[in-house]
Amino acid sequence: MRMIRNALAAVAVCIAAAASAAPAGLYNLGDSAITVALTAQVITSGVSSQGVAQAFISKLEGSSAATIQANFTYGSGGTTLKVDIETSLDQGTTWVPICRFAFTTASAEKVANVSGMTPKIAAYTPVTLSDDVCVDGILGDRVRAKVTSTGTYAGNTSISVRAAVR
Amino acid sequence: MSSDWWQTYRDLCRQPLTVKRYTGSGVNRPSFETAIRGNARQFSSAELLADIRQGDYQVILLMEDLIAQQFALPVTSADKIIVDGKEISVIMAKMRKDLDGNQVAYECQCRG
Repeated sequence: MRMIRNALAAVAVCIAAAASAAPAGLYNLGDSAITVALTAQVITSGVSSQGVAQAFISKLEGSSAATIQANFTYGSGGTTLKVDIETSLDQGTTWVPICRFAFTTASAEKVANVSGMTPKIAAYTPVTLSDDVCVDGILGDRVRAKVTSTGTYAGNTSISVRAAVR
Repeated sequence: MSSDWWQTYRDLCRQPLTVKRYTGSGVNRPSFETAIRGNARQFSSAELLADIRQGDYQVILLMEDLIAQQFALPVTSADKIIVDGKEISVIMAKMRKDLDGNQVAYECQCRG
């Protein structure tokens, strides 16, 4: 009887651990039609635990990695478009760029994976990243996507950004 | 979210549904799908009043799933819901709140 009770207790602990684990899954970091030039426009729309809209995806604490995809669909016009993926370690007070995807005047899909488990022993100072560069080893409890574009895009040009978090 | 009313919605919403949101326009516009629990049924003949037409659906979407999936709220008439593989349009979405003010579910009238 005691063995059965212990086994049930172990199962309950496992279920509780699974329930409290980081929410692995696919998240939408933003979809946006691109027209006029944008400067650091946040395109992420999330929701807080109280159901209030917020401009980031949160509750990612405990996540060890994120595979991020930026899918640019080009219509016409425009010059350049940069997508910056940012994370925060101070609940949104400051944001650290972790990936930048650069696009011009052609449809393209770009994917990168960042891990929060990669050791980063030398102190890192957040900077604006160069085109198509990612910084590994920094992953906070929230992420967002920002778009900066030049020129005026048209013809149903759009950007969509996804993150598979685990 | 601990009242009996909320529990009633939770018991009701056991059907796997997908909420789909399109952005922009054109055939290649981006979209995002979120799988949640809910309940979808067609309105009965006795409920065909005002703008509720024959074939319309009442779809209940559980708020806690929408929040867990970080689906940008609110659900609007621009959103779609996939029921049994069929994409239907949200005509009207009404928020249901618990007595303590917590958001419990969306009750949607859908067509398509």
